[in-house]
Amino acid sequence: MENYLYFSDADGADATGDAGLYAASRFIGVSPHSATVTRIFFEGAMGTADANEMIELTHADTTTTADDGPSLVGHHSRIIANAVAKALLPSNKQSAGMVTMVDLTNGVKFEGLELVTGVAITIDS
Amino acid sequence: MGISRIRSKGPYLYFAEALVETTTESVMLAASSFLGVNPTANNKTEFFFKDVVGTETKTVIELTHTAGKNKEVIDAFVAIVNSNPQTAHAGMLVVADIEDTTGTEETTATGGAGTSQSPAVFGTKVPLFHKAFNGLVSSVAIA
Repeated sequence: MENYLYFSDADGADATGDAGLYAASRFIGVSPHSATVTRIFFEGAMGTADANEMIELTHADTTTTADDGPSLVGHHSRIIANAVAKALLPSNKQSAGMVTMVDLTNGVKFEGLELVTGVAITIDS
Repeated sequence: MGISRIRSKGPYLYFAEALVETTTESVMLAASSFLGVNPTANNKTEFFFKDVVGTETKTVIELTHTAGKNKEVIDAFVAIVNSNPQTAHAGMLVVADIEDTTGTEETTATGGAGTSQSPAVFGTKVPLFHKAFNGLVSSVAIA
């Protein structure tokens, strides 16, 4: 029994790489790529070649701020990493199941991922 | 549902360098991907994990610590990993996070390029080490 994390870009889950579902047991890690991009890695899911699957989330830059902006919280990868860690384990109140992390087609975002504005999935990264 | 039936690789561990801007300047990974340790100096210990980003042979976390305390730091790491075993919906454990961003303005009130740093106004992200290290660890580098 485990959770499965779902990601989808904004143009419909109707072509290769538009969406993906990843088992918690195949999670590898989270790492930033730039000030506005964080990558999430899972073990390969296609059954052939099977380099890592990479989900690239585009998000707000929380390392700097506009004049008179809010207090800084550091790179957004930390917020994303914590959200992913929460989603990987089932809630005490729920059975294990599918967790929608970011579904931009339907406008659904997991708690903590509100500042994510883009999803790009790379198969066999 | 018993916790022992939950399948995952947790707990999940977070490390961050002083500047978090690009690949492996911070990582969150599963404790189950731990491979081993290597004390490289009397004040530095490396912790090896399976590669996160898919382009390295392994992910290496180097902790700088009080001289002569390698074993104590290793022991604290084990305590951290075992302190929060697969508690449902627990989130990640911040092991060592020295990101120290201070409020660099992108733009000024007049629209110019910002150069000032004003923690009093914009806040400062404070470095954080897990309490199990008991103040022994002072820095982290990720490769």
